[in-house]
Amino acid sequence: MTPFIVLDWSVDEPVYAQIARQIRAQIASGELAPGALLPPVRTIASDLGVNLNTVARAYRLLEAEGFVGIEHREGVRVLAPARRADRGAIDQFGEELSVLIARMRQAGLGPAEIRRRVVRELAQIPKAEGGRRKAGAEP
Amino acid sequence: MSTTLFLVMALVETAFIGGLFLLYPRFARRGLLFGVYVGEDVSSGPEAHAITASWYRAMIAWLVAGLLAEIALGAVVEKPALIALFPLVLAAGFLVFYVRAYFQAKAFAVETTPPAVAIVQAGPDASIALPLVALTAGVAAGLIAISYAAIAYDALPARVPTHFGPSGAPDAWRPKNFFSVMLLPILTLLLGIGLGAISVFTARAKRAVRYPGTEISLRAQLRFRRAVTRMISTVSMLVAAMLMLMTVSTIRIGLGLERAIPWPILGLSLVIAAVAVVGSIYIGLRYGQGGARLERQAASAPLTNGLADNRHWVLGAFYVNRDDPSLLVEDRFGLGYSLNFGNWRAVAAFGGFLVALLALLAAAIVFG
Repeated sequence: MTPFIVLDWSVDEPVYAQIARQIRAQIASGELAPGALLPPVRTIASDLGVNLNTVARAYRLLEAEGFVGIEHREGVRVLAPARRADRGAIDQFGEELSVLIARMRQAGLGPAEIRRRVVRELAQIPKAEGGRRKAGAEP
Repeated sequence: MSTTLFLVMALVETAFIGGLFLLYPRFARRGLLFGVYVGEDVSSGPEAHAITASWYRAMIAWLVAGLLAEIALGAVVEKPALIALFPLVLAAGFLVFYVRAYFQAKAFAVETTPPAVAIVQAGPDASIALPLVALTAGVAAGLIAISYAAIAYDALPARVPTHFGPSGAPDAWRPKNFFSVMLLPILTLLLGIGLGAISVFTARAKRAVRYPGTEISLRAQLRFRRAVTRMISTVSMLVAAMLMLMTVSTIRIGLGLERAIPWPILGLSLVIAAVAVVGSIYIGLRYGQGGARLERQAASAPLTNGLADNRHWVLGAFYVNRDDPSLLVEDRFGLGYSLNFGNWRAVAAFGGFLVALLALLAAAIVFG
């Protein structure tokens, strides 16, 4: 199954955010394995009919989040998850998680519902992670 | 050339060009109607059939009238010069009927912007190996022709042959100067670069796919693109070879080493015309516009990307999108690729090529 990005022009979400969100989701689901090469900025921009800078911005965002590495010679490559999280990252995610949980509660989700959703998300990781590690071992 | 032969050629030409146009609705992409994206259901509905049928009636009437007028001008009143103007008259009629059908189809245009789809993994793409070979061969042919002409320049007599009859023997001479000697070799290089570049850019043209059903339509489009690229690359190499051989032959005739252009070189122009005409008909009937005939399983899914975006198409034929970095996009009406007129690089490259070509021909006519 080839992974695709689909742009919806009728929503308010900016184009670069739509591109970054969909690539992020494909990396998280294992559809894009670590080591996978993403197409050059020009190819994506040509397919979608958007400015080169828009795609470059999405790639830079994904790089800042640690999902991809931008190498000048090779292009844009999906990175494997870090082997051990550093202290600063753990603290930051703790904060983001509490904000997210607070927002979910505010939106009317009860603790049981939130737990169920978190468990369901986590349940998808091992399968993808196993595939990712294996794929990551091969260059 | 005898008048009868001229008339027969004009009739064959008219029948061929008209026939190619009449075939078009048979291989058009589903969803498109005379340069307008009307959606997959409307394009196969009764309104679309009515517009197409009315276009067919007008085209066939115009073609029959054209053929009869040609026969009258050629055989009854014998005015061959007027027949030469016929392609223009025919083309003007085709243009009027297209514009009329375009405005009829516009009433059913899809107003919303369909989604755009990009393929994320660096996956299968049409190879540019053959187009690069064609480009290299074109440049090499041009350089060989220019070098040969430059080396032979001093040895050439004061008058050089500039025009040749159907037998290949020269029938016009001009005084030797830079333009009368160098027109053909420079033209060889210019066309070698131009046609080679078109084949390279065709292999990398913007992709228009369907969503859902993207994989089927992507495969179909890749096969279509490979076929078009092969045809353009072949034509490009044959044209470069023909012009190079003609340059060499012209100079050898000027030097008195040969008496006429050998018939295999003249025959090449017929081969080139045959490859282009037969190739276009074959690609149209086998693959359809953009591979439409190979993607029947996905053809009910909406067409995406620029091809379905009515905002960016002027008269259904000119794609203008300043944001889009694509140089070439698939034709909306027709069987090939056209420029993105919103991309200044594409316009500059095409305009530059055209200006160079016209300047060369003008200089050759004025100074040669």
